[in-house]
Amino acid sequence: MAGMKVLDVYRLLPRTNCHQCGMVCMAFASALLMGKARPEDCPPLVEEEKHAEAYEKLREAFGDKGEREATGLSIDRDKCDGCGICAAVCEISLEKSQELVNGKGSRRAESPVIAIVDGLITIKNPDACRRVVPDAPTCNACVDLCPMKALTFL
Amino acid sequence: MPEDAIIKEEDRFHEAEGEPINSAVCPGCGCLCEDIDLTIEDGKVVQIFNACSWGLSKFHLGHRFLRKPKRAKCVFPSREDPSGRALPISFEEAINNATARLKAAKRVVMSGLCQTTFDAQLAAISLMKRLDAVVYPSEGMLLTPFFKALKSLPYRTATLEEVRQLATTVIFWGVNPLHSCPRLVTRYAVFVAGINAPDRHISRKVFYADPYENDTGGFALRIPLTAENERDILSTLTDVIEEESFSIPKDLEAVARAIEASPFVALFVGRGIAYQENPQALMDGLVRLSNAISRRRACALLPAVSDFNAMGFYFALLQSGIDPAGDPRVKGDLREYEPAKGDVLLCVGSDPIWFFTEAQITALRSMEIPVIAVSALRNQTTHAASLVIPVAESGVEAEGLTYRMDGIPIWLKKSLPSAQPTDLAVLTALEKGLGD
Ligand code: SF4
Repeated sequence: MAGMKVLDVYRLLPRTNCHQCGMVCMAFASALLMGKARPEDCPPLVEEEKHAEAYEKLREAFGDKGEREATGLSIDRDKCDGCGICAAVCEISLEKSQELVNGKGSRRAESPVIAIVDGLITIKNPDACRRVVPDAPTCNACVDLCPMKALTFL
Repeated sequence: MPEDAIIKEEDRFHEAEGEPINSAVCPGCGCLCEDIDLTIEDGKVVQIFNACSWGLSKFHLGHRFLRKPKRAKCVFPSREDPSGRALPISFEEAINNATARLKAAKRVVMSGLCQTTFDAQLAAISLMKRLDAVVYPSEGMLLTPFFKALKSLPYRTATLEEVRQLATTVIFWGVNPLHSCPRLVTRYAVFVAGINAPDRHISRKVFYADPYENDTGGFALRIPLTAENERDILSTLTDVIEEESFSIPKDLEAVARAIEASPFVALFVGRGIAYQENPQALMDGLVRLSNAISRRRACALLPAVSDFNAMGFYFALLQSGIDPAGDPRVKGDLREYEPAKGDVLLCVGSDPIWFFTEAQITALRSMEIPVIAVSALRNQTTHAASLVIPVAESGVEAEGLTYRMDGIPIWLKKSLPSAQPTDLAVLTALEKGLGD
């Protein structure tokens, strides 16, 4: 992002003023620079192959790499491949999902701590996480066993 | 508990509203996960449970998925005009144009065919016979050597359910399961409890054989090898297992002892074998290793295929009376294709241009070899094709029979509507268009 001016950003956008992000491209460029929008908020940039390179550049500059300022679980969405190891090694999730015990993904009606939703680790039942329950033994299973190194407890 | 101290709001689960479909089958890799729950709104998936990111990319996604780079669909049939632009044409014109090119070809080269239904594969093989075409199945670099090895060597396999219940030693040879079949390890091979492995990954010994360290190392021990010594390492390990030798090379000690102590060994093999000098010899060696293990304990050898119906294509060849291990028309590695003047390339559900070497692409261009792409999704091949025929996406917009990596038949359901014909319909129309 360093050194990028609004026109540099604008040049990487589709420049069609299609309004799918809710504004014209120039306004979207300023919104990106001000941290009020993310490249993913521009549908043509994400969907159209011709913008792939520009999208990559903008993601490099403005994308969410999973960094978090406050303490908490950080998920790097670029690294997670949805393999589900995090859910499969979470003892509490296994207690709450018979399907998970049987080697399947948990079902809608179940409430494991972790589920794979939309291709990514998703915290479905945060209140049951051992990191949250007072006096529960410390647990790092999901973070320790994620082979993609997509998870960290900050 | 401070509100949200651990979990950020955006990482929490928010249920989408819409029409639910439960237990859909994922047309991603050869695991064919059958536990996919979808929520559909306006003909698009707005929420998907349990699919990995590779599976996710197979479904047409609604606006909630803006953050995922989406794969664009082929919308209309088109042919390339002299300036290289894609001109929209009707389906009828597209079929006529394709059959004219196929008839005029000196040789038809087919590619792909591992990401479609069994019936479409049978139709493609019928077309292949009519045209006396050669075929490079997209999983050919793994499965052609696999079927060749099985022709002359005895071999043991098992279902993935048996692997899950019984295997306590698991070896991935030439495959990174996290990339080829991301949920294989959670559903069947490592992180799931079985009769012999009540403590899941803790009860199992897991190894991967690869010239390079990769993310499988997060839960598996590497069998160190190089491209040059891979076959030697394999035959040393086989000797050790066969002879119960006590002089075990240090690097093979852990795996040899794990095999020795295990009642059931699962050996998964992947496309990585194709990057060695003699993939056939390596595949033969892997079958020998599995046989050596089988002499005193159970062992299952399974190809970890990343195209969901790759096994189906080889079964379709057999059903059509073509020997995948002996018929010269059935090829293996696409990179061995040598373009020749008069070729026509017919690609069904595949992206060979992405795989081709620079030299192959240059030859294709200089010889002006027409490329006909039958595809649901846009890719480098549809971009470069002389003719594009869009089809419904198998397993998402079209139903049909398919075979899991262990040969178990699974019915792919249709979850979304499509304006496009199925690839079965297109392949049947192409054969009909050839006339008598
Ligand atoms: S592991 Fe394979 S079949 Fe299962 S969700 Fe992923 S791509 Fe689909």
